[in-house]
Amino acid sequence: MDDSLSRPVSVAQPTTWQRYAGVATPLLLLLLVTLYIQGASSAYIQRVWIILGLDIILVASLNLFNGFTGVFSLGHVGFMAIGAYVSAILTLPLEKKAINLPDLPAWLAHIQLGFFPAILIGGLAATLVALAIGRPVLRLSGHYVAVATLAFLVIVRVILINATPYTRGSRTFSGTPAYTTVWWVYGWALVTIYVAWRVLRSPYGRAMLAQREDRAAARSVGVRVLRSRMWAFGISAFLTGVAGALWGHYILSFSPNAFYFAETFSIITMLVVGGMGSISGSVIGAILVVLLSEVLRNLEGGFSLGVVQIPPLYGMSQILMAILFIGILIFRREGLLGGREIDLTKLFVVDYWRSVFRRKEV
Amino acid sequence: MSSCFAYVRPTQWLRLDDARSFADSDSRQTDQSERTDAARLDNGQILLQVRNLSKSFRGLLALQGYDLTLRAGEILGIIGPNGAGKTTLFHLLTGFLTPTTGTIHFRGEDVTSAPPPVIAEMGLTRTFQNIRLFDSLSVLDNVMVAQQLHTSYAFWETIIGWPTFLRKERSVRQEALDLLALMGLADQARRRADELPYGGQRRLEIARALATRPAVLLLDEPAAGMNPHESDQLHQLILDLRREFALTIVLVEHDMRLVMNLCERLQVLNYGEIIAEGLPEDIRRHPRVVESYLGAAH
Repeated sequence: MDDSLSRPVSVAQPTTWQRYAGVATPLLLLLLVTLYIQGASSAYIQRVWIILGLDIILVASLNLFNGFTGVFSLGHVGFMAIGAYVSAILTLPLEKKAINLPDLPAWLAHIQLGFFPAILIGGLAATLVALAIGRPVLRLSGHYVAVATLAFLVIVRVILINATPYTRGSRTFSGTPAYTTVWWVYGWALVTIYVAWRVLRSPYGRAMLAQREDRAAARSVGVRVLRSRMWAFGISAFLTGVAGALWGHYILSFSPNAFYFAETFSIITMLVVGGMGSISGSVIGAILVVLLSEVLRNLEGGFSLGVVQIPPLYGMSQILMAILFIGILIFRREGLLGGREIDLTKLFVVDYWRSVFRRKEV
Repeated sequence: MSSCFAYVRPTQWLRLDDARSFADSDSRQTDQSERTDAARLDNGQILLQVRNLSKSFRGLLALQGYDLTLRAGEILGIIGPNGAGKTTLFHLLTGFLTPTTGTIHFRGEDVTSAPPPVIAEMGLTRTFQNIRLFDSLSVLDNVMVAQQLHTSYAFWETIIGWPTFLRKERSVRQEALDLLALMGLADQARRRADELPYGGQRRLEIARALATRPAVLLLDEPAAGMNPHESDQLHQLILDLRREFALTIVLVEHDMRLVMNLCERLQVLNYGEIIAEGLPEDIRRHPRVVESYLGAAH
């Protein structure tokens, strides 16, 4: 059972016990931390923990496309919006539908679905849209596809604003039942990471990476570039749509403005900080950015460093995050993990950590 | 310092009974690959038929009036000065460029405007002059990418990790390792492709091309940068590959020693046209060829 992905020729192979322990330990840790936070922490910390989980889904699914295929999509938040609105329309209680969305067509006005089916349908809606726009858009490359996907983001927002019978237009969409719990979020986060990991270690993933590295060489050995990109786009859109559905049922009221540039750049910052192409990088990038921005936001109200009193500087946290982003691009463009993965199966192999930290071949 | 071009002679690792180069019940053979295998049995059959091929780039005629009849099992050499249109020809044959005029028929089918993946699936594969590997992928992954042509995977079995998928992956990986062993790269399987030395990268490109199970292999300057000893090993390797994989080979080369000794037939291009075609011993004395390319020493 070996992984065929790039890593140095290594002598230190983990035993079966170490393999299972290596994967199980972070999961166990996650469970313990979540239980602790749910039981003993303030509402604020619980909120941060949920937001972190949602961001992990968003970044990991964006990485599945941007990182694996090398195509830079700026429009993924559009899929998040589709997931949120579609699932929210489906779960909205019938009485609220009558009040908030009086002009819904009859077949929608009388449906009320449970959370799980609504999430799935939200994700599938995003996938269908992805496949529809994929054919023309994914033929492009470089700056062109970035702009085309950005146009998609704008189009989604405009449609949401104008589809008033379905979405209340630019007014706030509220009344969504509060279905999202920390367990839903982290359950889906684990699903996302697992799917991304499986895709990476599959022929689909290899084809995506190949056409990322060298499009002509990939075609010359039979890789169909457009098809490969469509697969990544569709899977990534589904997971992003799911994240949108979870988000919509957490935040409970939202409008098209919530799914626009601010959210886009937030996710992209996490992706770039962690390193594109690496699943562990996405997770670490999300953790770092979420925690850092929370810490900075709390300091915005002013604080004291011993004798010195720092005055309130509202908005400073966003400026600092932007400076971090620029710094990463200048000094470590490949991101913190540089596109490499943390090999969980080697968590308990001492030599592995030695090779990681001393950059020595083991 | 020993040559970086050592390789293992193909012996029994490939089960070559029934002219099937890769007997493996786990990877389902597509119609295309079965036709490829059948083609290998017919020696002398015309595999590639090119008629009046030309390519012009906004008025600049890179290739004109090019004809080729390629028979199964032969080794054809294409020589000529730089800029003569040899690489353009390879681009045209493998679908990276569309001809301005002319037709290309590969095993009876018109592939004049077919895209590269389709042509690769039909059994025509090329290597690149300036080695194009998947740099950040491992050596093993580089070969495994090329094997997807001949194995089919359902998406759901991949995501869930179904036993049928795991079995297919294992057999694909074994086949890739066997190919790497053939080219002397088995111990480098987990290295990044761009960490290989130059000779290793050339061999990896050939291994990757072989993984597509071609009937015809187009080699674009495979001996570039090699010393005479390595070039001799390449000579032997090409003969071995032809025999073991039932290949037909077209070679673009500047190494005259290799070309004259290895190729059974030569075409000489200059300024986009064929100026001579025939046996190596005739070509080396052909006045136009000597004047435009070879010089007197050959």
